[in-house]
Amino acid sequence: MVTILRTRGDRSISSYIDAQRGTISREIYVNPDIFEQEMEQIFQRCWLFLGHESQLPNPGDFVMSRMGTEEVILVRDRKDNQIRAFLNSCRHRGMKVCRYDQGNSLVFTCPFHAWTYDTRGRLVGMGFGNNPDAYNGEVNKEEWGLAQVAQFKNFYGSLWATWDPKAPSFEDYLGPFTESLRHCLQSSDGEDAGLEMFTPFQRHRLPTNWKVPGFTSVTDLTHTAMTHRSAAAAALQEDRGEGRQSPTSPFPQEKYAIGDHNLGHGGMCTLYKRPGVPEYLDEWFEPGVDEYFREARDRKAQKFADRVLPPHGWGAGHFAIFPCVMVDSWRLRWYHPHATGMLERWTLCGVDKTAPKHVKDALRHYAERFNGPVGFFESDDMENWNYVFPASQGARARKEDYFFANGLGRGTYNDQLPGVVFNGSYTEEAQRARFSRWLAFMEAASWDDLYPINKNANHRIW
Amino acid sequence: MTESKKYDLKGQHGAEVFRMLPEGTRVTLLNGAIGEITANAHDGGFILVKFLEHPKDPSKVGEEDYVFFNEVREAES
Repeated sequence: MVTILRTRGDRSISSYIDAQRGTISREIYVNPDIFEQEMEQIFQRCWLFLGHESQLPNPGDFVMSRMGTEEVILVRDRKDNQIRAFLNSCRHRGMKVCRYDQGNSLVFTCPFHAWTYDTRGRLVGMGFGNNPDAYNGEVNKEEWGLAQVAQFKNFYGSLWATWDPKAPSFEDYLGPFTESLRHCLQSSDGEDAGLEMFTPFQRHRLPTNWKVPGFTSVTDLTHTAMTHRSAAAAALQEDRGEGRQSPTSPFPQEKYAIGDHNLGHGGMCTLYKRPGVPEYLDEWFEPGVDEYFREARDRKAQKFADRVLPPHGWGAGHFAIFPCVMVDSWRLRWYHPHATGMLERWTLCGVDKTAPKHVKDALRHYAERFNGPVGFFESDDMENWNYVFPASQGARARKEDYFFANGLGRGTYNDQLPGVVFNGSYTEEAQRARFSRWLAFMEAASWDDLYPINKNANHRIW
Repeated sequence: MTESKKYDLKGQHGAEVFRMLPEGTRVTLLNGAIGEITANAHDGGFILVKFLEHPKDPSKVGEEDYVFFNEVREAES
């Protein structure tokens, strides 16, 4: 049994969650010992999102990304053109070998002792490497390359990695959400890997625990009415034309909150009752944008008449990949933990590679209006996220539990997505699934104990 | 006829000159090897050199290797 030491005395990690009552101890969010254990048990094992291939079009291009609290260099090799990911830490004394957010480089030279690595992460030289009074050419360079991720996956243009060589394949890690992610990375007319991302990453820090937005906003419809009331009153919906047009032949559909307690992924799910691609509804005020998307939707409908697909990538879905990635159609948002009460929140927003300039401009402007500290919608969320932490970490406040029982006991399985629990769209089912998986990772000694490597594992706790 | 140009690699000025040495520059190393710059990292530390002569290890002729600035004796275009 894994125990948390020091701060609150010895206590099993599972005791922080009361699955019968539907509550979670605030210690999980504010205890530094738990945070340290999360970095080891979760962020060293899970598949994590690093970026998108469109950020690195040319040999030698690099982008600084992160895995948990650590910096990772994404770089396209100058020779074989493959993208790889390396820990940004010199093997000699641990200095950062790259201090830029992005660029193009021949090598990464550590400014400390000039240990130097090529774009495949190989040590290719160091200061005084051949000097007979120093290294004398005796360092085995093959042994001292940059630490490389154990597994790397380019999934339809999106880039993922894990430090754990025993982790399952990325597709097995995603399970039934594999196709969901694929849809979100398709162009409007349904072509795979059809996106490019607006660069650079949109980044900002939030003084809160990574799970506050990372687990709560997996799907959380009950927050919208109050949190975003002012934005809604300021006509956010009308900003994208919502309500301007009603479908003439609405697809029969049902909406749910879903959570996979064994995998930790979840979100919003719309089950359409017949195949095909729903008609396109006007959403944009910018001239020519609706016309572009409508034509793309029509091409998609011709190609995929027998399949259930969203009308266009921009509306492909809203779900979350464990532990900290939110996929909101073409917007990918994720939360890098820095400390118990500090995270860095990154966003990449995509658009059809082949879209004309006026469509790309409209999408980019919308993303800027919507997201980030100056976006007038997401800034509402930050107000909540930022105050949750200081209001929960005090000696008195941390003795109270959080309520996670909205819809508890009402979830059911559905043959259309085996293994996934369906519940009312306004319930906290997806959030509970996050914690089922969280607990499994925190208790597991290795991937051998975790689904899907262990096919018999059942991590659902509530 | 183009005259060859020798670069002054000494001192503070020389460090900046080394950082900007263009591709094609011919360099002579302290160990007697001669090569041509095929890429410059522009970090002031390393250049990538294709060896034209290598008295101590002739098998390296034609190969590329990274060379640290303090191994370079001369550079000329």
